Amino acid sequence: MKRALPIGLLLLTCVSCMQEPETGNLVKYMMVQTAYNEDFINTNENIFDTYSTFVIREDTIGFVSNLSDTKYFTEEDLPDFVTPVVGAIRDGFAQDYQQVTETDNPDFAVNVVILQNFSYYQSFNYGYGYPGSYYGYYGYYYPMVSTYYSNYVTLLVQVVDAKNPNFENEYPIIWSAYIGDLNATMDLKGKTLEAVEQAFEQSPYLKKN
Amino acid sequence: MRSVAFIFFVLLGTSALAQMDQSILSVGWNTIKPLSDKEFTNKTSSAGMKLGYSKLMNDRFGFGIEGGFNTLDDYVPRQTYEYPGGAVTTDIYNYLYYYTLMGNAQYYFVQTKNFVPYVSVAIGVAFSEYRTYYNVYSDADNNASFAVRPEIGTLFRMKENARVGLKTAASYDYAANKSSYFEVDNFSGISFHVGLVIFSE
Repeated sequence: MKRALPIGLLLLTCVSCMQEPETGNLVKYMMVQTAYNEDFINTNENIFDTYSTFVIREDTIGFVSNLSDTKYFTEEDLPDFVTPVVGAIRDGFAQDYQQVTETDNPDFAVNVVILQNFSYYQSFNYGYGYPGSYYGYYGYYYPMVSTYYSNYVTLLVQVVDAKNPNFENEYPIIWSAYIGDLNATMDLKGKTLEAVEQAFEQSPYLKKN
Repeated sequence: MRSVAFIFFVLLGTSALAQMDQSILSVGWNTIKPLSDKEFTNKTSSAGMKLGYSKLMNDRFGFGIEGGFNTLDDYVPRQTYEYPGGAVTTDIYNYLYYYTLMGNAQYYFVQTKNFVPYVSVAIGVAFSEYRTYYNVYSDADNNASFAVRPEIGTLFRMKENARVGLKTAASYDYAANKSSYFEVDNFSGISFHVGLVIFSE
């Protein structure tokens, strides 16, 4: 019994010293990661200089999950989220490009998707990743779904080129923005809009010169 | 790595308390101020402890083992990091979980008064876990390396021949750990230690 007290105090001390940041502080800002396809954006060229029109689906946000068969969310599914978030993304591109419909033969498509429990870091591929279709969430394709488990919920915004399919009719991904985590944030709409704005700010090549 | 530290401290505490020979058990809080790796963690950390057990050979010399750990942390405000092919914007919490397990030798200047000043040198291994937290994500790099810790301090008996006393010490920590992932070459720091000692006959 005499030994139990100092050992207990010792363990208590050990635990108190093994600190981690508090969740409330960690999720104060969303992480915003952007990536561009260096085959199309480099020191010699920027494919965004050649674009004039784009298309974006405004009524839904796609959904890719290892846990659910749901393919997309509407404003009804996520009130006060789908419309303002897609609207902010549309407005970001509309500063330099004209929004058109799918039948107007747009230069690029903007896909907005929520990823849940999806190992996108391991599977990300800048190559020609959209076989047969550059647009649409139904039958949305993304290479190599992993069984890696996580609770991460990430908003993915992708620009898909609609003018340069390869010989296998695959359309290249030009730009991607990963915004997270949507699940842990205390202010889903506000922090997501802040992050969308940041994604454009840190991607100055997303404009027509 | 942290669970290994737990087991070590429990085993060390148990074995030390079982000793009834001429020995000294010490435990206390440890504060460390980093002198290197400052880009990763620059703040002084008092979230640490140190535990030691020494066997006295005579009035002047002793040897023993010691273990300790500190959690060092720092905050990097939100900013954008650019790299080929993209950029990332986030704030970052850097954490260094620093554990040591060492053998040591001590020289005691005086053994009969209330104050027992000493110097010691400890050599052993340091286990370092460098971890960054950003939003809900984190990256980590673990490594183990050679470590050395020269120390100067004093033991203080409340009264002559008392079994319980106090200890205060200052030491220099050097660990040859490297993390290419976080671009750190080694770790060094100045430690200050205040604790309790138990003298066994």
